[in-house]
Amino acid sequence: MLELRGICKRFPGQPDAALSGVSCTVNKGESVALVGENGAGKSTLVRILSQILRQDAGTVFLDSVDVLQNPEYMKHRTATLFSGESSLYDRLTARENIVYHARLNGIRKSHYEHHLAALIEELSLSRYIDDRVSTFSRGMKQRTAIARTLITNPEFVILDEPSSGLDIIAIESVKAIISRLGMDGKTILFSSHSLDEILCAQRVIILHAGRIVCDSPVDRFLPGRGEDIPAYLRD
Amino acid sequence: MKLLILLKKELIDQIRDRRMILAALFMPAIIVPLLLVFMTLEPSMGETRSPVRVAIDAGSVGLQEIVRTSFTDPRFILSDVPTEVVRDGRADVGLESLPTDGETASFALHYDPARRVSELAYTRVHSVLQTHFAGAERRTDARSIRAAPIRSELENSSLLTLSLLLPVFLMVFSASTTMSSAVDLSAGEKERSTIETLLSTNISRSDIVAGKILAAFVVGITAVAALLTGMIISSWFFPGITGGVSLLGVVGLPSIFLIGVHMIVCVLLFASLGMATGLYAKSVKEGTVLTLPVIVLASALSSGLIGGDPYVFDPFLLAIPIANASFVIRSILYGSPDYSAFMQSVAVNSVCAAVFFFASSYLMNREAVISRS
Repeated sequence: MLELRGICKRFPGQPDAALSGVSCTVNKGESVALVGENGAGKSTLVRILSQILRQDAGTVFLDSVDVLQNPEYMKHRTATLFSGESSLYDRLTARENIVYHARLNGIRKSHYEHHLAALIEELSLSRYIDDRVSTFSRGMKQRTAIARTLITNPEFVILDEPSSGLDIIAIESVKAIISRLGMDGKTILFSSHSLDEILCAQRVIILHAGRIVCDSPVDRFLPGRGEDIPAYLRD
Repeated sequence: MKLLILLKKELIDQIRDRRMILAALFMPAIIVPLLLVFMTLEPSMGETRSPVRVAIDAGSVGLQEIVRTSFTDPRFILSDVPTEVVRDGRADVGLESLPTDGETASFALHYDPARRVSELAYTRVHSVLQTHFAGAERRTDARSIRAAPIRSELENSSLLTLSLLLPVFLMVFSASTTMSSAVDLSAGEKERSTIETLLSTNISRSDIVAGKILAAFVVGITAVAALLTGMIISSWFFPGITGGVSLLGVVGLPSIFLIGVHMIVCVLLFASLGMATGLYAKSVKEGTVLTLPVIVLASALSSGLIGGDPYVFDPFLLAIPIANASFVIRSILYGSPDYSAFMQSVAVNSVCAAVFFFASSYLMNREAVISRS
């Protein structure tokens, strides 16, 4: 279980805090969608959970272990797909990108080889796996990036806008992957601007101006239920 | 008209980049005066470095007092073979008595035309001796002074060419290649948006810095090896490019290897410096601009304008990175490697490399490392 208590973060030179007292819990095996307008603090929260930023205040517990005191505990169990560009090395092949990530995380060849083969099959990468990433379309890059994220077989998967910039077919593919991860018992936290994608989750956390304004089951936001996500994002 | 619109926008875009302006205007304004200050510390053409060392044989002892008037506190070294003492660099000029041709005693004035200090000393001694004996009242007091350069013209030309060019080529190419690679590995990682994923993996930031520095080092040392190999081969077939004697002819393979070994620590220094620069910069472009003054400084420090004499051991010079390495390279080229200077140069450059490594680690640990322009 992931538990956030009073997470605060302010960047130097910025008048407003990026995060103000964010507290929530993500249960093991749960799929949670993180929603918010641009600048709401979603990416900042993702980076704090990935331990590439440190919060100014508050604590993060993973399975009751304080992550600040034991950063390795979280790093071994978490994998993050960051937003924006696919963050792959263009001069390497897809396979090299994925294997490099696995090796940096201490995964031995005997452990990742079988898993890699399964991911290649699942993400339809077999035709391109040994091609340089510089030749890939955006959708292919994103699938490769997802494969890289999952190669370490993490318990906790963080996806920051996984379908950003993708076409309809690629988005469907990403949704299928998120659903499959949930069925595999993985804990998923993903941010999205797509209502379709959000509805794949079990819970929705809405961030607005660095604060959680709603944390509820996704049922409330299903079509016809009367709840409207954008309403929470208006001042 | 549209061209002017484009031009205006591009200039505004450039001018609003404060760091670029700093690197492009401010730093050159500091670097060039600094270099000129360093150069004024060197003796000018009319001056000689004190104390001048004069090798004399037993037959020339009588000329000691005359020679003493040329310099402030010269040092005399008694030797049966003054020419060897000059060649070894233990003396700047040598006086050797020659068999007399009847009534007039003859002396040879040995000097190294490839060393400015030696040439200046020769000029002074020759002038004072000529003046003294030109006014001799008796024929038996007359002396014949013969100029005796210790190197042939070809050897001198090659040595001068190599001592001027080789340190500069080595430093400039290793600096530019290594730092360019380091900046690409650091600032480029930010630009390509791969740094966040890298930082989220299970590898320490110090290991990331060390790994990238070593990668840049490999690129740089490969460039050095390629440069030396290229010069060996091209000067072998076309010795004219190195003044008439090939690089191998001037110094043997072991000496070239020694130069290569010495460059290891210089390349490591450039790799560390490039890494720190790239981590500080927000883009590859900014990082590249910031490394330009370093390359200019490296070329100036290695050019021989500062501490060019390979036999004059200057403790101050040996404390300056790059300049100390160039001094060592020159001493190896002149066939008299100063191993004490070699070790000091290695130590100084290693310490500087370590400082930049720690600076890089500090920068990598800052949150701003993931920020990009």
